[in-house]
This record gives sequence, C-alpha cells and structure tokens, in this order.
Amino acid sequence: MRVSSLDGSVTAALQRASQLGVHVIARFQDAQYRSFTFQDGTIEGQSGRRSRGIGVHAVTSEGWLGFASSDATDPRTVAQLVDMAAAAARTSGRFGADVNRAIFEVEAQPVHLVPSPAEAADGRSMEAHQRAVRDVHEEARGEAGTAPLRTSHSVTDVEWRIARSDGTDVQFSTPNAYVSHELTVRGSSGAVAARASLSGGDARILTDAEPRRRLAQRFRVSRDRAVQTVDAPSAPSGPARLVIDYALAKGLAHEAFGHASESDGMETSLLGAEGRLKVGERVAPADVSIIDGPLVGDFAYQPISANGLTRETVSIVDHGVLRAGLGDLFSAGQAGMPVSGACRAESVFSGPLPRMTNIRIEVDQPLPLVMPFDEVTPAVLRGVLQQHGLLNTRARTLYLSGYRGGQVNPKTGDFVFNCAAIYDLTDGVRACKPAIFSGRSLSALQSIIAGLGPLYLDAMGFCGKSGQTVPSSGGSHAFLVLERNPDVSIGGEG
Amino acid sequence: MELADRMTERLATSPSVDGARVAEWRLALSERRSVGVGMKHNRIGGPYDAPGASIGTSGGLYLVWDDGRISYGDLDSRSFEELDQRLTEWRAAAYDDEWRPEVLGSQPMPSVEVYDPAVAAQVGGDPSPMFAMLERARRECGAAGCELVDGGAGASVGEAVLRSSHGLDVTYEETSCSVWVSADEVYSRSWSKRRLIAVDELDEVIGSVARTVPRLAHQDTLAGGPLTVLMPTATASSFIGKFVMANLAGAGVVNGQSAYTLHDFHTHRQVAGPDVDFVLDTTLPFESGTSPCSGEGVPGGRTPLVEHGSLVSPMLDLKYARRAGMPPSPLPRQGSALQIVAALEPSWEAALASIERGLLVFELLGMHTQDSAKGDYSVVASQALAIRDGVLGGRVKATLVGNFFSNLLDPTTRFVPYSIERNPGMFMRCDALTE
Repeated sequence: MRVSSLDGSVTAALQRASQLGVHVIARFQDAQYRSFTFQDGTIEGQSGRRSRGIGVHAVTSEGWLGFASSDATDPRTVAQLVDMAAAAARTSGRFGADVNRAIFEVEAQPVHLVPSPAEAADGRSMEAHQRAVRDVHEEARGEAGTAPLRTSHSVTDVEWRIARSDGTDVQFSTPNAYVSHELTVRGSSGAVAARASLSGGDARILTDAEPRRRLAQRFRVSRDRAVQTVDAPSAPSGPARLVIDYALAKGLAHEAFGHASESDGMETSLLGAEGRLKVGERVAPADVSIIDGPLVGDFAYQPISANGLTRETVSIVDHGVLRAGLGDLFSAGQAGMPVSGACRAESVFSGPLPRMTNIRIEVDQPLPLVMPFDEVTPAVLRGVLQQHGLLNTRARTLYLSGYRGGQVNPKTGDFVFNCAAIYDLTDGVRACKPAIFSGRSLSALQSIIAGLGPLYLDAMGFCGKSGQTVPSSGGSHAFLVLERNPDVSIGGEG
Repeated sequence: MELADRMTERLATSPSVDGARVAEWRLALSERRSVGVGMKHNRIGGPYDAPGASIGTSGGLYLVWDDGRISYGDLDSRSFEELDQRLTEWRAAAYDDEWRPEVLGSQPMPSVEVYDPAVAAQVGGDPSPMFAMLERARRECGAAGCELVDGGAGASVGEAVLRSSHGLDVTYEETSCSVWVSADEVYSRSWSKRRLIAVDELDEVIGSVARTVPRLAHQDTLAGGPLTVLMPTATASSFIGKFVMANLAGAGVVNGQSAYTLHDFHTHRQVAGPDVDFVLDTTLPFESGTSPCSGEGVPGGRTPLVEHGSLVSPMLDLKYARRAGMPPSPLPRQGSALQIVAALEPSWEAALASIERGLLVFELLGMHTQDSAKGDYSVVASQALAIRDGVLGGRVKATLVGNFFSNLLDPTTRFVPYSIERNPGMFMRCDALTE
C-alpha cells in the first residue's frame, strides 16, 4: 500500500508524543481520485488528482484532547503537528475542557494491513477509463432523445494508516466509485431533473455487464418517471398507506434510526434516556431489524474505524427491540453501548465522528417478487400488492419512488424525505409530482407491515454531519409497505 | 510564497511530457494556518470538538498544452518535489475542449479588504478569546433556560497567489473568522467574515439563541391553509440559494438544465418583483466572498444577475462566458458574494406586526431535496413560531408547499431588514399543512 512508505513519519509522531508525555492517534491518508463529466456527447471535464495528509489527536494523561492537521507528511512537520496538538490539549485544560480518557482503556490492535478489495484508481489508463465513461454516456444518450444529459463518474481510492501510542498500526482502504446520469425533462409547467446512479468500489461498475445493465435500466425508469410527473398534479396530502422503494427505505433507516443510534448524540437522541441507549426497548414490529455494517465492494465500505478499531456489524434493532448503537471509543461507554469501531472522518483534516456505513432494514419472511427491482413498474407493483392483499381501494395507497435525500432531527425524531415521484395506486395508477414525506421516525418504523422482494443494499448517498461529508449506503427489500399512520404523512396539496 | 516562486520558475521553462509542451498555464496557491475550538452539550473541547490547528497548502493548476489539450490539477505542499510525476499524470488526463477558457494576463484588480491583523494575531497567538466566546455563550444561553449549548469559533490567516504564463500576478494576504452557537438542537445562529466579530455582532449571535430557544419550547397550534411565512435571512437564503442561485449557474443555463434559458437573459425575462436586484459583489469589505479576482483571474467587481426583477446575466466562468457570448462574472473564490438589493419594509418589527396569521420560520428540513428547475417546494418548517395579529406565539410544526418562482413574482412577497445580516429576510404567502 502507498501508506506503507510512511514509516518514518509514523515513527516521528510516536517518538515526539512519547517525549511530550501524550498519547497520539496519528491518521495518515493517501488518496487518488479520478473524475469525468460528459455533457450531451462532449467531455466537460476530467481529472486525475492525488492528495496526502495527516491528522493527529493528542490526549494528555488528564484526558484533554487537541488536534492538528496538515497536507505535509514529512517527519519534521509531523513532529511539529504533535507539538501543536499537545499544546492545544493543554491549553483547553486551562479552560475547563471536557475530559475523556477512553483511549487509555481500549485494547491495542495488532499491526496489520487490510488489502483493498478494489481496483486502484489508476488501475486502467486514463484513455481507457474515459472511453468506458463515454460508452455509458452514449448509451444513455440513445435513450435520452434531445433532452440535456450529463453523466458524471468518480473513482476514489483512499488509503489510511492509523498509528497510536499503544502500538496500534493498521493500514486499510476505503475505495468507492459511482456513475450517475442527470437528464433534464421539460414539460409545459417547467423542468425536472431525472437522476439515475450506480455505485460500487471501483471502475468496474462501468465495464462489467451486470452493473451496466442495471444502470441502463435505472436510467430508463428515472426518465419515464420524470416524463410522467413533470406536469402531473400534486399528490394528496396527509397520511396514507405508503409503499417505499429500497432507496427510500435506506433513507428511513439512515436518517431516522442510524443517526439516532450514534454514541456521541445519546444525550439528546430519542433512542436515549439520561444519556444512555434505551437497550431492550421495543421500537418496531417483531419481524423488523435494522443493521449497520461494512460490505466489501460497497460505496461506503470501511473495514477499520478512523481510530484504528475493527468496524463491526451492529444490529441496532433486532427483531423489533433496540439492542445496540454505533459506538465510537470516545463515547460508547458513556452512551451505554459497546465500542463497535463506528467512527469515520471525511479526511485526516477532520476529527472522526460516529457514523454509519451500510445500513439496512430487514423484514423476516419477505413477500416474493418474481422480477428484478428495476423492472417493476408502478402498474406491476400495484398488481403485486393486490395479489398479496396489501391494496385496499377504500384507503389511499401511495407509492414513493426514487430517493432524493432526507434530513432528521435525532432529538425529536422528526424526519423528512423526498422522492422523485409519487404514484397513487388506490384506484389504478396515477402519477403525481413529488412531495415531502415527513413524520416521526418511531411511528414510521412501527408502521412497517411487509417487505417485498430480496434485499437490495446499494442505495448510495452522501451523509453530512458536523460539516463533514462521507459516503453512505444501504437499503432494504425491494419495497417496504408502511401502514397508514397519523404521524407519517405526505406534504402535497393542501 | 516560495512554492509559488518555484512552480512559476519551472512552468516558465515550458516543460514537456512525451513530446507535448506546456504552452500556457495558470496557478492558484494558498498557504493557510487556522485554529478553532468547539463546544458540544455545554462541554468545551473533548474528542469531537477538540481545539485544533491546521497548516496547509492547497490550490489548482490549469495547463494548456501545445496541441491545444487542457489539464486541471491540484496543488499541495509536495507539488514541486513531485512535479515531474504530476506533469505526467496531468498530461495523461488532458482533453480537448473547443470552449477551453483563455489564460488571462495582468489586469487592474480592485483594492479589497480581506485581511484583518487582529484575526492573524489570534491565529498565531493566545486562543483565549475563542474559549471565552464559547464560555459566554454557555453562560448566557444557560441563564436564559437553554439546556444544552453547542458552538464553535475559528480563525485563519493565509496568503493567496494567482499567476499565469500571460503575466497575471496577484498576491494578497487574507483572513477569516467564524462563530456559531446553537442550543437544544432547535435553533442555531452563525456569523462569518474576514474580520474579527464586533461586540454587537457577538451579542446578537448569542442573544438570538438565548431569546429564541426558550420560546420554541412552548408548543402552539395554528390552523393550516394559506398563510404568510416570515423568514430570517438564513431561511430566506435557503430558498434563494436553491431556486434562484442554482438556476443562475452558467453551465446549467447554457446546457439547458436550468429553469432559465439564455434567451431569457437576452430578453430580460421578469423573474422577481420590479424592486428586486440580485447582485454578485466580490468587493464588499471583509465579506467571506470578497477577493481581488476570481480563481481564473477575472477582476473582482459588482455584477447584477437580476436587475429590477429581470434576468441580466448568469454566473459565468470564462468557459461559459465564451459559450454564452457574455462577459465573465466576478465569481467568489470562497463563500457567497450574493447581495440582495430590494425595497425593504421599514423594519423587522413592522413586518411582524403586519402579519395577521402566519409563521416565523427558523429552520427548514428537506430544502436540499427539492428540484431547483421546477420551483416547486414541499418542505417542513421544523422550528417555527405562530404569528397571530402581529404577535409571536409558540412553536408550530408545518409543511410548506408552493412554487418559489411564483412567490418571487407575487407583489405580496417583500424583503425586510434582519438583525446584523447583510442580506435581508423576507416574507411571502404559501400553503401550510400544520400539525
């Protein structure tokens, strides 16, 4: 690995920390990126970039912490950063800073290296890489007609090395890649953007047959959805029985439960009481579980935490009961949960925070779905729901399709999600323009009455927290069905 | 800056890779030192908000090769020592672009205020004032009834260099400073400029949190339906950023992905009330978006994007200025340079008093999920206060539904001065579904 060449800088950090009498966590990062953008058949931009840096946390014996970072990783600068972090820690002590000695209680990790499961960012020539992106773009243009089409592709190949004063020295990588199409569809009432994306660990998402097929099908679905909704009427507002696709289900798991289970927020989380996770509390039907953990080849893959601990798979909700949280070493103990190596950092220039990786909702004994998710049209879905007795023409049923992002207040559990389209399936299939899907997270989870189809766990996104953005991923069964609940509603027309 | 000098010297030799020679170039480099400290749940510092410092070099390079292909690359502290390897990589990533941006030469640049020695002193010296600000926020918000106070303070100082093969040579020192405070995870107020925060500004940042959070603790009800929404600058800015600024981006306009077309600019389509201007201004003293020039060397200045409610110009970098056949814009190198110039209501208090039934909205959930090009919105006002006959009530949660393009053209939409903010707040009519 490229970070293996940083032995001298690692030694400099540890030696300087020893001289100053502080414990350090030194995070080194070496990243290579490639990005390409095509617009309407023409290359709009492409670049191959690299970056390197170090971030150091110094912890004094009293438990005061300081942080320093730089893009320079030579031993002299690294030693200087340890000085700065130690000085900041001691200064904060004079102002009554928070004390945290958890780092002295965690076990040292053996020196090891986790090989990257991905192709390197520069594993193929720029020319070949550009050609692969162009092929995908042209394939979509063939379906786009004259509408403006932008295709973006990015590969990120990030290597990390985490060294601590207790002898821990681990190397690993967090590779990811995505390709996305954005089509602008105009109607008589304005324009809407149709987006389709596919994620994975490296550039093979462009060239392997199966991801290529899925991306092409997703693009057709998003194009059709935009055409159907650009001039569609508003959706009816208020509560309804809801069918959400797996990307929206990922949003529900991520926004409504993942964030609320992070160990640094337990003092105000709706899943906490007196600062501790309410382990044992029933929060969902007995056949529903929420799980977070790294998956090889996933967009948000992370085998080791940013503090050098193995990232574990955690059942946050196990068959309806709250069991565990996303525990970072600095706050898991206070939050009443085991340390699960759940912290991530956007880069070495930021301090790590408890974050999700791949989060999913699983329902026991899901109902069968005989065709792949991407081929299920709203009309087909309606038929499947009818077949399983999940459609009641006396009560409104709305299908929310295409995740457009969400937001939550972990304290109150108030969440919002948006979708690309709403289909009213109550009496036939009627396309409606998107509207916000909002409510209280516990109510939404308790309303799950069925999962439909196998698990799909590749819904990608970017998660923002405290000014840091990291890749996120997850999913659920192809579709989840949520019973009508007065605390979960659609913000359509009044 | 030594790195800039060494890079300039090397690039001036027109280095070549596999027979291709660098014909023209432009580099932008910034060396920066920053310090900061945070507070979470009344505790200053700690593992997630540790006081910290950062030193670093960052920037970008634009190369035009002698075969007309172009490359973009990143610069950092190792750029010179790794230059041969990087040139090879940049050449490998070169591509043809018939609309490639020109490399600008020397031009008169405006004199702008972007450096405050008091901020520079804080970066290199005693961090006590930053800790003191957070202590004060904790104390005063706590005394007002807030339970858990969060906050942060940061400052940075640096030197920026912009040079080109055509004689562009701009060097300036710059500083920045920021403060934010929030409490009980319901309301947050932030401030950011290139100078130290003034006493009255810090009073307002902390005071607004201390005043607002206790008020939001009281639940209230308000019937839904059409009503008036009064928005402080931050809330109004989220609407304007999503539905106006996003549609003014030059690439989107030229490529047909914006709500506005080039024809709309040529014909000065009316998109807002006749007393509203949206202006790009990178010369305002000590604002975050102020700089002597854009990252491409376009001189800083003041350019109307929307004037008297009519479209004038998209925000255009050099490439899209060529494609649009219009002059390039003085784009900010960081932060926002938007200035809203509008006929304002006499005061915030008068605006509030004029609202018979409405909501004062502090926070919107879901704005980032809306589709910019359509103008439709369906967002949740998660932190809002009821307004009845001009008097504030308690907290109401509502979903706001409407079309912001229609709002901007509606004569009942008005702008109103708000507190210490440079840009105004606004009020407008929309449908609300309340809980």
